[in-house]
Amino acid sequence: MFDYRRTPYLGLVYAAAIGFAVTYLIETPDRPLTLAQMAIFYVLSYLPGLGLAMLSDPAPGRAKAEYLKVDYYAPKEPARPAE
Amino acid sequence: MPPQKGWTAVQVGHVALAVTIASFAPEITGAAGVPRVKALSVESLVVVFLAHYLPNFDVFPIKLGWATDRFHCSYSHSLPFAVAVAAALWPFNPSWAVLALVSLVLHFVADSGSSVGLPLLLPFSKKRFSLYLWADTGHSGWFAFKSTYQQAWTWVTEGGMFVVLAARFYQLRVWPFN
Repeated sequence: MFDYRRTPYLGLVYAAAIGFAVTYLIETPDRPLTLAQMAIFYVLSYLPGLGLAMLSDPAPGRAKAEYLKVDYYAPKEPARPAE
Repeated sequence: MPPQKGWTAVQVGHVALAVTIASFAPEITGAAGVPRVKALSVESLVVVFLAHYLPNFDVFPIKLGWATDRFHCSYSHSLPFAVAVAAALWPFNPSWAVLALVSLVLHFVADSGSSVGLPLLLPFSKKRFSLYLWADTGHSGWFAFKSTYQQAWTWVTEGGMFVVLAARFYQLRVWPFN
């Protein structure tokens, strides 16, 4: 899935940045997030974080390029009768 | 070409988006001047989920053999379809009509990154609109599901939607943020 071993780890870095930004933006002083609630945000942030890391990895881009070559909605050819 | 067998739904981000729309139900209905629907109520969730997934119900006639694969992302993914659904609901419940319209339009926004392209003006124009963020690999089936998540932007957009949903849960004091 990845060409670089660093990609999943880079995703963690992006996740930390996203998680920090989101908790900073939404947290209100009267309702501080608990450690568990903050963990939920950081875990969920790994999803877009991994995606951002994948942008700098050649494998996902290569997969996209390969898939773009195929028309997955093309009419199916009728099966040939057995001879 | 891999067979599009099975009912594996593509793009799980639609679930997060639908719940997020339902969380904004009072704001959406209030802004439209129709009776307000409570956030994340059963009513809002049912209406939003049905409307949000309605465009993808075009898979049913394909699976039943009544239409070809090309029927996916055609008439059900056009703005006139969204307006028609809202217009049909309006006489029965204007709030449902407004929620359905927003849910349908946001379904199209969520799909706009797919290379299949959306014929937003069908039947008036066949032109397809796409941001080409990821390659479309079919309407259903395990291959379509797996290959969708081998691409970067699906993780960015759909994963990001789950973060937004968590933020809404915090704002609305929904478990586990109560």
